[in-house]
Amino acid sequence: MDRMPEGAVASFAGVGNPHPRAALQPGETVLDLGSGAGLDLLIAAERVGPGGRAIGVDTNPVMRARAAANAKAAGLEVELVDGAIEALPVPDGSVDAVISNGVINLSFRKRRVFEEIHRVLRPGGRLSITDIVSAKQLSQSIVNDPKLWAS
Amino acid sequence: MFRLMEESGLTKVRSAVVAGFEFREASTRNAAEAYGVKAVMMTARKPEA
Repeated sequence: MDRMPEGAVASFAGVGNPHPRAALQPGETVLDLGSGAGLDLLIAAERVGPGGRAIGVDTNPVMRARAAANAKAAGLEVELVDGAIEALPVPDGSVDAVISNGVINLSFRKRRVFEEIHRVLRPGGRLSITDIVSAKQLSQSIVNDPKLWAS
Repeated sequence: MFRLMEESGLTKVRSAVVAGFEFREASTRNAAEAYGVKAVMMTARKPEA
């Protein structure tokens, strides 16, 4: 973490650490759903090494640009792709591991997200995510409150 | 999410609560507590062909 650019750390909005259980190995292909400013993607890139691929998917061009700048500052190779987590721009069975951190809860089409994860993983591939879940159905006032989406 | 993961065909779905997680804003923390919102770590695998 000490080697990661300050910009990536400052913009981090995850809720945990998906990396220990992702157990990424050199040479693997990893896909980060909602890669944001890139902190998890950079950690993944470091773990898969120059022979691997670290692909970040994000719909937000500003965050993709930030992630690219942070990767350059860290001296790491990443691929940043414009795409929604409900329609991943990645071929079938092409990914060894999917990671995500605090993003899937934001989707209104979670079933579709997991179908896509299943599609892009190779047989035997793995998923490691951290996210927030609710024991009760949230009220509409909470769902519609933009402050609660980002705090 | 756990059910959706299994229904998508993923197996070995496991979860654990992320210890020490809390929202930055006090108002969000209060709402989260009322609704049982927690941060969790989840893992799963796609079966071998």
